[in-house]
Amino acid sequence: MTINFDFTFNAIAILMGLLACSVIGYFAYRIYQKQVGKPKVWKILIVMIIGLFSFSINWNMFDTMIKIPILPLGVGTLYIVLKGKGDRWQTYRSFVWLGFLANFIFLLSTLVAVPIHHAIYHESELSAYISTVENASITPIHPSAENLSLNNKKLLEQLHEMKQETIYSDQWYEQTYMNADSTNRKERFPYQLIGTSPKWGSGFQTIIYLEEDGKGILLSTSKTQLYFRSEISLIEEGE
Amino acid sequence: MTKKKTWALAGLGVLGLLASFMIFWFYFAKPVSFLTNGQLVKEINRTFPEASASVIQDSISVDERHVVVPFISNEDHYGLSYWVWKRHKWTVETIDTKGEPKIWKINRKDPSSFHLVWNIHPQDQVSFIAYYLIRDRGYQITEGIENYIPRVQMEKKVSLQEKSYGVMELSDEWQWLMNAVIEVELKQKPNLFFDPFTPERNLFLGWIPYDQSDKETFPEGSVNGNVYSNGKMLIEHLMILSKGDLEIP
Repeated sequence: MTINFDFTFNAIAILMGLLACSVIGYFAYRIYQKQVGKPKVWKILIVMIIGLFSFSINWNMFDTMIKIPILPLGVGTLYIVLKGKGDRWQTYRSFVWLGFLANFIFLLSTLVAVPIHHAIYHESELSAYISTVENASITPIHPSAENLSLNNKKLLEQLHEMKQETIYSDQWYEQTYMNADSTNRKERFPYQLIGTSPKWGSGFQTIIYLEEDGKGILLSTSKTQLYFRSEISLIEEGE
Repeated sequence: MTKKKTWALAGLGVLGLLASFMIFWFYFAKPVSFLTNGQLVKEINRTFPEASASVIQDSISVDERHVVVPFISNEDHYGLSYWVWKRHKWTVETIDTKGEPKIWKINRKDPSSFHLVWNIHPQDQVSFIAYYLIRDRGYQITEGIENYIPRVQMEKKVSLQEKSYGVMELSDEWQWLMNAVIEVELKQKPNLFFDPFTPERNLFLGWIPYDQSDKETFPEGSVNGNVYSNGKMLIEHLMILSKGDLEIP
């Protein structure tokens, strides 16, 4: 049996990245038109890529990694190399600086992409993480799991009905150890839910656990955990 | 263009073609047939004389370019050797003088390439091995944000009745969980500096050897072997567990 994991990607980030590239391309075109000495296009491209190199600070803002460029290393290197070679530096100067500026344009596109992503994909809604369920099934990850199977129809119905609840992590942990001796422990979340895919273009990656009574879903994303409960059980006897 | 230039260009073209052919042949060409038992013994003993291999038990293809060869030594040890097709040659990457179970991570980011490998000495009287994928239960509260980590305990039993050795892929269930964990981890740190050695954070593999009467036994003759490794392969040790480490509901 094989299961194809959907290729998940962040559509907003890709779109904004493309937009940033076209803005940079537009600037390059403007400089090219104004300039007297016209270098070859592939040379301009290389010079701009050199310009991208910079010493930068990485900063984690609202769970998003942001790169703030500080020192234009590429620009400096090119200046040293071309300094003594006539007017070549003059020809490429604007383009290499544009390469450095491109760092900020990409930074700006990330800053715009994050709130748009938030607005389109609601991070507190179960349906953002579990969107298609046709190929979904459950698999035991602990011996206390019973030989039950998922009711895909009920899961689909419950996606919008399930309520977010508080995670009582320490209580769950301790209850497990209080109620039974060492060899008789039960796991509260003994199933993994597999074969679902998140909303198209969201780029969400999750590990999804199902509670022993079949009514709770614990989602582990790259940033946080979410817990949802339904009124009815999503698992049943037999295939 | 002068004649000289034309010749120079033609020469360059031929050279380029030859170089790309050589590179393809050297790095990408398909493997030729595997070595004979005689060649294997010679190569093992040349690489790691301590292994003193004498009998080749089998050659098990893991995939087109990776082969496991269990062998018996002159001192009656049951050992393992790991072979890779690279630079147009079959090379022995690791030799283990004893055969306690290891996991061979051929592609460290892809659990479907992971294989359990073992060669247990018959004198240890191991009738079957139970393999485990385990993660400890845990919880975390930081600044009011709570995380609960469910315990993972998955089991796979393998009989040793017919052969002392074996190579086994991880089961689908294990792969599903490991893949999900790896993908979430990659999302957390998509950097180049992704730590390859603990992609499945906190997940670990273990084993329990059982005898004929289903009792735990200690495989005296299969542990604490000496290992030769050229350091390029990811072959990891498996912890020996006991029933006390397990939860049995």
